[in-house]
Amino acid sequence: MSAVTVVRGLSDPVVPSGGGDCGQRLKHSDGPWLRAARGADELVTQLGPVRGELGLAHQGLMAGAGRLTALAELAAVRESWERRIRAAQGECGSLAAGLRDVARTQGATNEAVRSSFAAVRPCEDDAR
Amino acid sequence: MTPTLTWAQLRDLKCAELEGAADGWGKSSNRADAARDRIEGQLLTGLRDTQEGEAARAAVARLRRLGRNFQYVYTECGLVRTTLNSLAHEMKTQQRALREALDDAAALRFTVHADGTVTYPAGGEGLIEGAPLRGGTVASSGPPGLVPPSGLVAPNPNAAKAQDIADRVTGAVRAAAEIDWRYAGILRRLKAEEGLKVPDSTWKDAAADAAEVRDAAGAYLEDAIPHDASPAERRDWWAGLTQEQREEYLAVYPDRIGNLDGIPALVRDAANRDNLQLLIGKLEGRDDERSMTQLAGLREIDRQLGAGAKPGEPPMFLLGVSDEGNGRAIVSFGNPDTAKNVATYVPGLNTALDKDFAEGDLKRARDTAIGARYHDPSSAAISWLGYDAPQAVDGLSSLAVAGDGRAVEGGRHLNNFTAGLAATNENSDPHLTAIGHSYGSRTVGAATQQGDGIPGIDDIVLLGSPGVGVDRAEELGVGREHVFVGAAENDVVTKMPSKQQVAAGAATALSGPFAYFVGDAADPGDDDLWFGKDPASRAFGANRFPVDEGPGVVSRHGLSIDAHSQYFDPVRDPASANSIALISAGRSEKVKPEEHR
Repeated sequence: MSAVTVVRGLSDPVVPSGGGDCGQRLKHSDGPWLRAARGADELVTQLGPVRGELGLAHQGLMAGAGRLTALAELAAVRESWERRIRAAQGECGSLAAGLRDVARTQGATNEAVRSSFAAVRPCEDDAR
Repeated sequence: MTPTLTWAQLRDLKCAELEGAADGWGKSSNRADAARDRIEGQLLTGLRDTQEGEAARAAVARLRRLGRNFQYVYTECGLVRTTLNSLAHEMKTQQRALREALDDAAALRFTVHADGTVTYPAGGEGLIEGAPLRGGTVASSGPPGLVPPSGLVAPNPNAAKAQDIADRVTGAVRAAAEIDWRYAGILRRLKAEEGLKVPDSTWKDAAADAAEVRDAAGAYLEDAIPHDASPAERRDWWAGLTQEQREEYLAVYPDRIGNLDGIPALVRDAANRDNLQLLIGKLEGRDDERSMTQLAGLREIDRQLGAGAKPGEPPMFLLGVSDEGNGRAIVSFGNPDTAKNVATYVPGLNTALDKDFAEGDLKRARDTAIGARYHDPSSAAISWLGYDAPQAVDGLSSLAVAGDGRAVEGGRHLNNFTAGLAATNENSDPHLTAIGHSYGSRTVGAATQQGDGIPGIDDIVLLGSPGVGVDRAEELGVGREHVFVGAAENDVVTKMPSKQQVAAGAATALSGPFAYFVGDAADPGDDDLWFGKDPASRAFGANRFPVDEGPGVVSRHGLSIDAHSQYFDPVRDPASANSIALISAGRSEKVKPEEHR
């Protein structure tokens, strides 16, 4: 389904968190990126109704019990959370775009990487 | 604070609308919770487990930040919800008081005016003419007790009744205004911070918010948490709550629900993941040693939870966490409610909520779970730091100094915990194992001597034990054939001398492990340890299994107690680790026997 490329950059410094003796690892495949992008898109949709739901829930309140000082505060609280959730929604959208970009560029570079690293020595622990 | 509220406004206040608004916040909170679950359970795992490289690292970091953001939204929106419900609850009480006063006024045909004054009609008899006394109007005399009744005149009896009604009306309005003012303050502090990030300081504020809301909502929510009930009764209590009620308890009391034995594992885990963030926020920035030590432990647990389980490995469940005493943390590898086999490892001497615990002791449970799942995939193992273990301030001799007190107290908590496991496990006959290491074996021993023994436990494993407080395996209550012992030849803790032997050792002015050898010389063949009969001895009568002898006590690197710490390690002592795994998986018949000491 999706191509998996494992490349060891031989000129990269050895980073312990990366891949031990073989140098830093780079390993990617399109599937997970596109799946994550779709997931992030779905989050945008999932969060869509928040504003409307909150508005609806407060409708009667503002008309009926509007005399309480607490309700004046509540209005401000609601605005602040609507802003925060909107920001999160925006981040989901922007992440989705970013994740999709990675999948796209990867698709293009994989080929290039494959040919230019034709001599890359495979790491033993990947030989399975 | 000037009450601007009138009684008519209080009367007309629609508390149901406040509750409706609360529901709206509940929905937002749930959406955020679902978003976080989605990110952690799906998006993050997909990338983290399959992708490597800069782009993957950056994406994972951004997703993680977003997940924390949703957790913050979930927590705080949940608090707004409970604040509004609690506000409605308190306002209803004042409305009831007001309504009763108004009803009394109507029955007496008094008039309650918009400003709260009350007009009453003529009534009673005058002292001279016997004619009814004139009616009048009274205002509230202020908070009760401020104005003593004059008692100088023989008034119209309606006057006193009117006064009482006026006082009650005004009292209810004043109380409502105070409630309004108080909740306005709470709500003001529940505003969202701008942006996306959730730094520790924000969690610190969130912890303060939760504390404030729980103070305010005490009358509304907490009274019902059945702290004094049995774990099985608590399970039933939880099962009987509505979804909304559960959500509110989780939002306001994550620490109580998360640490309550009898609550299902998934619920405890969800509560404690929130609790963990709130605790990190609370301890962050403190500079005392205890806080910093615990914080390091909490951060490491958080890191492992965030990293998630690798495919095929048991997932982590945080069944308990707290900064009480030396700290508490209960971590299960595998779901203890669905697994047929559940092993609980009780750590011992020198264990506290710190980085060592979060790394080493969690790994012991994890290794045990992985090993047990090899023999039966339906297995889970728990690292249970649910008590204050003795701390080794003086090296090994601390163990000798440590009395039974911690073990007895810890045993009580352990019994509650396993009763909770037995109550929430979904299998008809789950197989439960208690594993005590070091002083933890003494704690397991103490637990067996309370009530009817450790609830639900089928097998007991004693590792590196300095004695368990009883002299014979059958006294542990599971049958001697279900008691297993691992004791390494070079583990000095399993050779802690008995009190008599120490006396012999002390006579030669030696202390620590060496006292044993001297003491042994004084009483060759003795099988008594500090806390009773050596569990590895023939007289004790348990099943001993083979373990590596471990590195010697004295090496060229100095004194070593490593032999005490490798029983669980599948690399350093595979035979021991596999025996523990077999017993935990309910396959103890396959455990190889070893000769008694």
